[in-house]
Amino acid sequence: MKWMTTLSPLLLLPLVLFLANPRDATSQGDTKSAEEAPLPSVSDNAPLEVEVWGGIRDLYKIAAPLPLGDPALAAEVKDIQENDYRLSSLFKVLDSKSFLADLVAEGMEIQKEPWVQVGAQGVVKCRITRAGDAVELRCHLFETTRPDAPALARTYKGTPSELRGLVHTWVNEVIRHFTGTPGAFGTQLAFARKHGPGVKHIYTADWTGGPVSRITRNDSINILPAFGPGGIYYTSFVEGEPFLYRTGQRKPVLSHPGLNMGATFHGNRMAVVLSKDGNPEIYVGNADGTGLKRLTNSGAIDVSPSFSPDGSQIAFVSDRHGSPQIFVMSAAGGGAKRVTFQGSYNQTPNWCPRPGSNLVAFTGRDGGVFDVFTVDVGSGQVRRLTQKQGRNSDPAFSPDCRQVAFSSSRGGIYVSNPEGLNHIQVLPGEADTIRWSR
Amino acid sequence: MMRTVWTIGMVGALLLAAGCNKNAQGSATALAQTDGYDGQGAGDGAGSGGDDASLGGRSAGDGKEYATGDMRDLLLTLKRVHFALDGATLTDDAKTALTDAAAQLQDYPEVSLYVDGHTDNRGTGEYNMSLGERRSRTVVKYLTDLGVSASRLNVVSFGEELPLEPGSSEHALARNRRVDFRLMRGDIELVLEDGDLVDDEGKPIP
Repeated sequence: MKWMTTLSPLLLLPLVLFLANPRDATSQGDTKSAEEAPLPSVSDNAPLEVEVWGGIRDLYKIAAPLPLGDPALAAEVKDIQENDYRLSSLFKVLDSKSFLADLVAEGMEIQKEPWVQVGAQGVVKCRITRAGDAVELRCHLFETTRPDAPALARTYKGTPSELRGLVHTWVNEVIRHFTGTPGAFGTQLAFARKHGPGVKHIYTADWTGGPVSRITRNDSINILPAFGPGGIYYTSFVEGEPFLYRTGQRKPVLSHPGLNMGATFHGNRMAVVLSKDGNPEIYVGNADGTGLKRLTNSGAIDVSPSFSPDGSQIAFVSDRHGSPQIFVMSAAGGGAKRVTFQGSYNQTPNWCPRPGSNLVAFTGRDGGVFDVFTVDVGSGQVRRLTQKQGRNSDPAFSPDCRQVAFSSSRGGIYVSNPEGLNHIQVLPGEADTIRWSR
Repeated sequence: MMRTVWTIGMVGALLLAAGCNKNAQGSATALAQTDGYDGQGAGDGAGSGGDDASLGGRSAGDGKEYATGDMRDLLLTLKRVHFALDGATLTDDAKTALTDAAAQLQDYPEVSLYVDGHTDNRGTGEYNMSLGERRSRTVVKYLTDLGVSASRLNVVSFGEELPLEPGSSEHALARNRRVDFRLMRGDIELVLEDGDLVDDEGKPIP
């Protein structure tokens, strides 16, 4: 379904404010590197619309008043739902203080006029009920152009502790209704966080925030997590050397001499970095560490593999030409092609997993400052997602590629859309090497 | 052979006392302990405990022993190596120091080394793991070219994970871009003992 809503420039003003970033848009960074062309600045164009699958449309104005039913749970549902809509970069969430409708009289239905008056294009009505340890969430989505019957109606059942997940499932359905593809709410981030001198742990968390779960139990350095078959894979110094481990398995998955790190997965296939032959090289094999085949052979640093959506190609970092740059090669080996030519220090490629996508997010350095960029590996076009917002690095695409999570010196993990708009902090506290579950 | 225990450096003892994971701590201890190189002069050390230092030296806990006599001299010869940003090239000073170290290592074939490569906190984790390893390999290659057996030298990288000094001052970053050495005799790591501790006013703590 496509949104062809046209709004006057005056009405668009609030959208600009909503998505405008707190950054100084005065073009270029500080200094240019000696040899490479400079990295681009963020676009000076004010954001009026967002890209959705197959096109561009205006932000959709949605009203999500306090649900009926259990008051405490209703407040929770409202917070989770509004937060999800904001994070989606698809919606402008209308302020509930502005609502004119008689919510009690309306119940789970809507009257058209009071919602059209406040500018709503969609209205969500929910009821949350609790019976003992069971909750039931019923939600209706109305389009104000067709107010007589819900465009979408769903009922979800679970326990109070599953409430966040139930709301995420509903929001994914709302997003599917408008865009044709569901959202990625309910998926997880994994990251590493320093715990003390010589101690670093792997954590996971719902990407919209909430409590974090510590994955590693040793008192060593644990880094570079990845979601893969059977659990989370990570590199740990628990046995003194950087071996690759998986949760739920005591024995290392890989324990070759040198580095065992940077695992990434496509189904049951694993790409990983080993330095057993003298310098870091990329291998591909099975997720259990068997059948590894070496793909690179450069004598330089070759690290940070990331599979293309169909698994046929791998983006990676190599400094074979002097400075670290993003390359793409066949996942069967061979055909390595450099894709970044701007900047002198480009790292941590993360390929958007949406089928057919050519978009790779990466960390680039511009004048000593690290920022998040994307490159289209087909056209080579580079886009900047962060600028003059502290240090930003380690981007990871959401499964639907509507969001990019990254580490920020502004504090913890931030999420923006792939155009670099709508920056929102989702997790406080230091975090690096971020991966997003599929 | 001298058997006197020379004691230097405070930081190592503090970290030793902290005692946590064997491996990670081992490295952290080694790093801090090497602070003794550029810390208070080695000559300050009191010549105490000579008798303790019989055959294997005195235990420092966690699979470590305090280095004594010639082993201590050898440990002091192993100067930390520092690098430019993104670099893994040895400076002339580093080459001179490594040449001295290689000559001494030839005299003690029973001793092996962990050569720990480190980076500053700029850059990203995985790349810095690789850069730390490159630094370690550079040092190992230099030592093997001077005749030290490769079987005695272990390449290790901790990337940016074990800074010597916190913060992002130019000085801290420069110190953190380094190769450190851990001196091993068999499974025993030889470390420097702490010196005489002094209080805030510089008076000896009994």
